[in-house]
Amino acid sequence: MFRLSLRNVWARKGRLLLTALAIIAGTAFLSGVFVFSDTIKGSFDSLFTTAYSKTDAFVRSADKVESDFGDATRGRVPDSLVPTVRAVPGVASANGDVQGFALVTSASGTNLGNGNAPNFGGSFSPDSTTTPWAVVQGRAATNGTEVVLDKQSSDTGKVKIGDTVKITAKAGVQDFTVVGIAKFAGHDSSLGATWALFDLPTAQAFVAQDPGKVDAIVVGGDGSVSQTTLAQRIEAALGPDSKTETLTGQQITAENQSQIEKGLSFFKTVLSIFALISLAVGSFIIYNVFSISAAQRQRENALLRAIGASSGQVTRSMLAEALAVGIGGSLLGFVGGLGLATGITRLLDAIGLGLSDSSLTVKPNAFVYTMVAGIAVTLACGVAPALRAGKVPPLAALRDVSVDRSDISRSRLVVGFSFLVIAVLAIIGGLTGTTILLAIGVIALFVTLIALGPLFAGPFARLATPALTKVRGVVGAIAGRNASRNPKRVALTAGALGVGLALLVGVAALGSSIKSSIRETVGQQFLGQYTITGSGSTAGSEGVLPLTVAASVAKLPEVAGATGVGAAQVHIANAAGQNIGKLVALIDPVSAAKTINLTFVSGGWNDLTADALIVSKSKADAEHLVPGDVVQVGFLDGTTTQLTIRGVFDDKNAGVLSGNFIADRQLAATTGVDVFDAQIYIVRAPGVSDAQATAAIESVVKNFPSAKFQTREQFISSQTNQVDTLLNVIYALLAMSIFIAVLGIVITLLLSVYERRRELGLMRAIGTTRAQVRGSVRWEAVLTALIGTAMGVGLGIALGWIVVKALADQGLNSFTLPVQSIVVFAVVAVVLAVLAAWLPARRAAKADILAAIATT
Amino acid sequence: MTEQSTVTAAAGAVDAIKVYGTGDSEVRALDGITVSFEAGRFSAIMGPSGSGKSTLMHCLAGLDSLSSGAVFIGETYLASLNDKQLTELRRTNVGFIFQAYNLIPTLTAYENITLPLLLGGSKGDDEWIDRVITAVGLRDRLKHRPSELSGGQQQRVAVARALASKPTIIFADEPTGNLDSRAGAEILEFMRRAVREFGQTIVMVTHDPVAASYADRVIFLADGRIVDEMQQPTAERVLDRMKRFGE
Repeated sequence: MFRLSLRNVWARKGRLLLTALAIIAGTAFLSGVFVFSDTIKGSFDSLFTTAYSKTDAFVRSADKVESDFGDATRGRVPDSLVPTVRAVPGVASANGDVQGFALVTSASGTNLGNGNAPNFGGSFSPDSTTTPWAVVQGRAATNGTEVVLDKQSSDTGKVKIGDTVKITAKAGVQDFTVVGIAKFAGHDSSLGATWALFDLPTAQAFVAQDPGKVDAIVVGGDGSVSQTTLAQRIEAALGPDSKTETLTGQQITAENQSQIEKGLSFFKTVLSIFALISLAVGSFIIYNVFSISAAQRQRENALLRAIGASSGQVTRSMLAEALAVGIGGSLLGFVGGLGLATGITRLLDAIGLGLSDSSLTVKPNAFVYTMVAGIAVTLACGVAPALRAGKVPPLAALRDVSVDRSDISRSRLVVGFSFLVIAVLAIIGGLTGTTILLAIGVIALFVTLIALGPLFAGPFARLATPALTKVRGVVGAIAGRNASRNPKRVALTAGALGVGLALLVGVAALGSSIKSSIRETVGQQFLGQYTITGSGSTAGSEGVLPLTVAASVAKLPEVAGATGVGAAQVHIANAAGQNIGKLVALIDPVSAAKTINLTFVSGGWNDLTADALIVSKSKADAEHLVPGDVVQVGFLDGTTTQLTIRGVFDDKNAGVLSGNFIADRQLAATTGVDVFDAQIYIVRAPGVSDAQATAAIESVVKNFPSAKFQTREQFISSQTNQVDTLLNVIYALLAMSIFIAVLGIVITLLLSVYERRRELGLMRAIGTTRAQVRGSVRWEAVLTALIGTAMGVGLGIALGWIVVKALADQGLNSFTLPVQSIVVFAVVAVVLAVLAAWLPARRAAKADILAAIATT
Repeated sequence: MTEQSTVTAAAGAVDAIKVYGTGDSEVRALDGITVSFEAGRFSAIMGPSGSGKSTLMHCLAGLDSLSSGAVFIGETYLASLNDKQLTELRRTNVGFIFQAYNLIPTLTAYENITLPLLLGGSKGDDEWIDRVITAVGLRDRLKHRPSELSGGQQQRVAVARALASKPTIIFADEPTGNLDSRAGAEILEFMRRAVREFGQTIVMVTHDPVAASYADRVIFLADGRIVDEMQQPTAERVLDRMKRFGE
C-alpha cells in the first residue's frame, strides 16, 4: 500500500508540485529566519572573538544598569589603576580603553556612515598588544587634534590622510586632522560601524568628557600564566575598594556574544512568529489541495475499496502520500530558506550593514525545526481528507466522478458559532479585565473565520453574481456561479488571504491610531514652533546632540525658550531599597515651562528643583509614591543623590517626554554619566518673525553636524514617520503570507480548471471564445480575492479595534480607521488575484474540446 | 459534387482526409470524403466504431481540423478561419447536441438555452426562444439546474439550446445514446419537428438504426470512406445495411 502511495505521488507530479509549493513557501520563510539569525549571530560571534582575541583580562567598573535587552551600561574606572594593573606579574600590556559616540563629518559636509550602524569614537594605543585595530596607512593619533578613521568609512566618505574632519561627540564639535587609516582585525570595518580613533587623553576628554577615567583596562598577558590566574591576580592587586571586576578574555568574549544572542533571540522570535503565520496561511492551502485532490480521486479510491482495500488502507495510503509530499516540500523549503537568507544578507551588504563574512551559518537546528514544522503541518492538513477518502463507499466507483460539494455541516455551524460566542465573551472580558482573555478572543475569532467562512463565502459570491453579470455579461455570471459552487473551497482559499489581510489591516489600524495619538498629544504638549533632533547613533541611543546645542540656542535673543530633553541610565530605589526605575529624563525646568505643556496631577514645573523628581501617574500608582517621598538615585559613576518627589504628571497620553521619571538636568552635570539630548524644543521670542528665528537657530545648528533643524510640523511628521517605518517592516514580513495566499488562489483555480475541463471544453464547443474563458477564470479569482478582502478587512478592523482598546491606558486616545491603507490593500489584493488567474486562465482557455465531448 | 448542390448545401466536405499518427501507426480516420448536407433536411451518419463518423462530424463542425481537403458551413470554408473566427462561427452558425455533458452545471435550464446568444452579446429573438421552449415542453423547468433535471429533460434543454440561435446547421452526436427508448424517441421527434416545422438543418451521428430511421437520408461510413447512402430510411432497412458491415 505504501508503494502505491509513492507511485501515486509520482504519477501526479503536477498536483504534487502544487501541494508542495504551499509547503515550500511556508517552510522557506521559517528556514530563512533560522539561517539568517544564525548567520548574524555567527558574524557577531566572530566579531567579538576577533576583538578580544588578544585580550587575556578585562577590568571594568562593577557599577551597572542592565537594560531589558540584556546589555548593561557601566560606570568608568579611574585611569590611575592602569599602572597598578601593569605591575601585576604576568601582565605584558595594560591600556585604558574609552568608547563612546563620535560622528565624523567630512569637509564636504557629509556625515560618514550609513545612518543604520552605530558611530563610535574610541581610544587607540599603538603600543597595546591587545587591540584588534591596526593602522594600515599613516600613523596613530598622538594629540588632541589628530584622529585615525576606519578604512571603510574613510573610503566611502572619500576622506584622505591630511584632510580635516569635523567630529561631534559628547564634548561638542571639534575639527581634527586625519593622520591614519586603520583596519579592524584585517577587515575594513566592524559590521558597518564608523570608528574615530583618538589617543587616550583625547578620547577621555572629547568622547567621554570624563578626564582621568576609562571604560575598561584591557590587559594582555605574557603567556606565563593562564587567563584565570591572571584575572585573579589583577583582582587581588586592585582590591575590593576599587569597585572593579576583572574578567578573563574568554569571559568578556562570551559575555558579549551572549548579550548579542539575547538581543537576537527577541528578533528571531518576532521573525519566527511571522514565519509561523505564513505557515498557518499555507496550511489553509495545503488542506484545500488535499481535500480537492481527495474529491477528484474519489472514483479511484472507491475502485481500490471495491477490489478489496480496507478503509484504513485507503486512509493510510493518503496519509503516506501527505508524508511524502511533506518531506519533499519541507526539504525544498529548507533549501529555499537558504536562498532567502542569502538574499537578505546581500541586501544588508548593499545598504552598508554588511556582515564581515557573508557565508551562511547553517546549524542542524535550523534544518530540524524546518522539517518538523513542515511535515507536521502537512500531515495535520492531510488527516481529515484522508479519513474522508477512507469513508468512500466502494459503490462510488460505479457512479460518475462526483465533485466535493458537500453542504455546510451542522457540526461546522456548532463549532463556528460556539467560537464566535467564546470570542465575543473573551474580548469583552479582556477589555475590562485580564489581557490574556484578549489573546484567547482573537484566536477564537480566527477559528470562527475558518469555520464560518463558507457560510459567508457562498452568499457573498451569489450576491455578487448579478452585479458581475451586469458588468461582464454571461462571462461574469459564469464566474460568479463557479465561485459559489463550492463555498468550502472558496472560503478556504479566500480565508488564507483573509488571515493575511486581517493582520495587515489590524496592524494598519493600530498604526494609524498610534499616529493620530502622536499628532494629538505631541501637538498638545509641544508649545513651541521648532525642534532640533539629533542624527547619528551609538549603542543604546538614537539621536545624539551634545548638551551645548541646547545651551547655544537658548542664548539666542530670537528664542524665548529652548529645552533639551536627554536621558540617563540610573538606579532609582524607593525607601525600602527596591529598584523602581532605570531611566530618568533630564530637562531644564525653567525653559520646559515655556515649551512643554505637561498635565500635572500634582505639582508643576516650578517644583522641579535640583533635589526634586517628577514621576508619572502610572508609576506613582504602581509603586505607591506620593509627593514628599524620598527616593535614592544612583549614577553609574557611583554617585548617589537623595531626591524628593515633588510632582506627578499624567502619562495617559504619551507625548514628547517618554519614561516615568523627570529630573533637573543639573543633576547629571556633576556626574560622569553620558548625557545627550535626543531633542530640543524651541519657542520663538515674542515679536520675532519666523524667518528671523529660523535664520538664528540655523546659524547655531550648522555648527553641529549631528543636529537637524525641524519646524513643528516637520517634527510631528517625523514622529509619525517612525511609526510608518515600523509598519512597513511589519507589512514586509506579512507579505510572505499574502504571497502564499495568492499562490493558494493559483493552486485552487488550477485544480478547479482541471476538474471542470469537460464543461470548459463544452463551453468552447458551443462558441465561447478563449478570451471569454480566460475572463471567467479571472473574474472568479477576483471574486475569491474580494471575499478574502471582505473577511480580512472585517476581522482586521475588529483586531485593530481590540488592540487599540486594550492599549488605551498606554496612551492611545482613539481608534482611527486606516481607510487609505484598506483601500490600497483591497486594490492590491484584486490586482494580485488577476495575476494569480493568469496561469489557470491560460490552462482553461486551452481546454481540449474533443476530449470534453468524448463519450467515454 | 456539382455547382448546384454547393449552393443549396448547408454544410459539406470536399476530399476530406484526416490522418492520425505517422509511419506504421498511421491511421486514416477520413480517407477522401466528399459529401454535402442539403439545407432543411435531417441527415444521419452511420457506421461501425472507428468508421470515422465522429471525426467527420468534428471536422464539419470546426471542432477538429483536416489533414487535407476542405469543409464548409454555409458559404464559409473553415480552413480560412482562425480560432476566434471558428469560435464565432460555432456560436452563430452551428448548434450542438452531444451524448452527455451537454449542459453547464452552474447555469439554469433557461441560461443554458440562451448561452450561445449571451456569449455573442445578443439578446436573441425572444419570440423564437419562447416557441422553442414550448416545443420542447420545458416551460416549468426553466429555473432548474441540470442536476435537477432527468436525462431526457437535459437533452431537451440541449436541443432547445441548439435551436435558440437559429444556426445554419445542428450537429447531434449520439443524442439519444444515454437515454431510455421513450425519452430517446421524444428527442428524435423534436429533432424531426425542428426540421419539418422550422426548416432546420440537422446532421446526426448515430449507430442506432431506430434513431437513423427518423432522418430523411442516411450516409454509411466504413474505414473513413462513404460506402453507401439511403433515402427515406426505415429501421429495418438500416439494420439490414448495417449487418452487411460485419461480412
